[in-house]
Amino acid sequence: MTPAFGRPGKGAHRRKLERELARDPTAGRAAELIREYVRSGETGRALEIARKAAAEFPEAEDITRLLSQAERLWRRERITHLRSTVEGKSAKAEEYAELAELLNQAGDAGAALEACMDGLAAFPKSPELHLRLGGMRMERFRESMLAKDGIAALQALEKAIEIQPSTSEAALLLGQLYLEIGCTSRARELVDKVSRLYLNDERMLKLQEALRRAEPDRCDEPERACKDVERAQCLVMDLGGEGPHGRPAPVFTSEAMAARLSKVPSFAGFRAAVLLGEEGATMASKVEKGIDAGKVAEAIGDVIEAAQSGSLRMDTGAFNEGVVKTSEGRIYLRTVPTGRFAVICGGETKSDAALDYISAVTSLGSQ
Amino acid sequence: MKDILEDLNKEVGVRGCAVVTRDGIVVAAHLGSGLSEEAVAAMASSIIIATEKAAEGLSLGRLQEFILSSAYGKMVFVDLERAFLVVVADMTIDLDMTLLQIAGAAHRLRNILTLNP
Repeated sequence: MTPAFGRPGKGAHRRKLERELARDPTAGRAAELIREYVRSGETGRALEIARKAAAEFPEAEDITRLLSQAERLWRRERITHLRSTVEGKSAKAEEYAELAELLNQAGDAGAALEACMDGLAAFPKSPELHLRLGGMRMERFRESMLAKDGIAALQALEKAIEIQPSTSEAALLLGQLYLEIGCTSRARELVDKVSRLYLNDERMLKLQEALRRAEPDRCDEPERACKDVERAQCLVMDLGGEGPHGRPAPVFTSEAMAARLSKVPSFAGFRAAVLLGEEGATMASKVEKGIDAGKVAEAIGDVIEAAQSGSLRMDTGAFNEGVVKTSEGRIYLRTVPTGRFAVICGGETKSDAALDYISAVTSLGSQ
Repeated sequence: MKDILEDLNKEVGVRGCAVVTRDGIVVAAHLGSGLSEEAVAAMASSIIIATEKAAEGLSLGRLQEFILSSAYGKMVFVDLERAFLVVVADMTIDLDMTLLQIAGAAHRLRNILTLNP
């Protein structure tokens, strides 16, 4: 695709605009022409002109906005086209891969993964599809810090390389992933193998530089390293420090939680909800009449302390959540960033109602 | 009791199980490597006592079951009236499935404890 201002378009007005733009290129003329093509439904041409204009007038906000609009429209059309193609029997692996990539760009990671999986069901030996899958799983791992995402990324990228050893893109991604999880030696080994294919490539130069500054191996076993990342992230979140890749970890503040506790309607059988901080102090609470919030906090604090200490003694890692069933009710315990959230309810409570309540309060709680 | 615990230990993800009294005495145990009777008994006693006290303080009646999930495993405590069944499991356990086996084992263990005071 070679964007060019001088190519004739449809319609007299557009032709005139094309001529004017070729003769005297300005951001205003380019914007008008892009709008014309968008209006006429020729999004491919609109995108070509928008890309060229964005390169020529990088400061023009109007052009930047139109480029983004044209990209969105073009992607939507292409996704529709590719979806109908992959539904037919003659679809190729690269069409599945492109569909997955576009869906991912459109922000629909779930559908993108699904497209990859569908593609792999039809073409299990496609290195491109394994590469896309690995790339998307890696993105997800960076967001979620969940070991399962990291392990899935490792497996997909390793598979891509196994099927096609010259898949240097997969090797580059895998090298980055090894580095991020602390398997430095493996990352170096892999990068040494493929670096000659990436002479002067910015990503490779960055990776090589990062490897030069990297600490020695934190772990030599990649799957275990992914689990360590998840575990470390839990600790970081508990301490309210930095989240994935330097972003601030979500924090539950007393004020925010108190506001949410008052907003989310309670359910039949609800008795009390408390948010305890790291030191066991009550950060926020909501209790039914006749219940002493301090007493609830003290009782819950003791259970959590015993559960946390027991989990560590049994080598099962940090305590995450628990459900206590008694003859006359239940206690739900859940770890949230910077504290523990507990809900106490009576025997008449339906567990779905209690779990919905906890989700409603805790999912709103991060900020 | 040993046989029941041994069967339970065969479930996928179960690392060990034991029958422990509130004050931390091991009645029977079948534990995998890495788990000691003393450690399981001390851990169970401390969790059971704290949870029973909380249930009583919050007017929730008698503790029946406590399912505890951690980063790399789960623990289940089931009331046997005169003791507790304690199950320690790793992440691979399918708790929905295994809880049925645990409930069955608890029922049989409760009967044994009732018949042999």
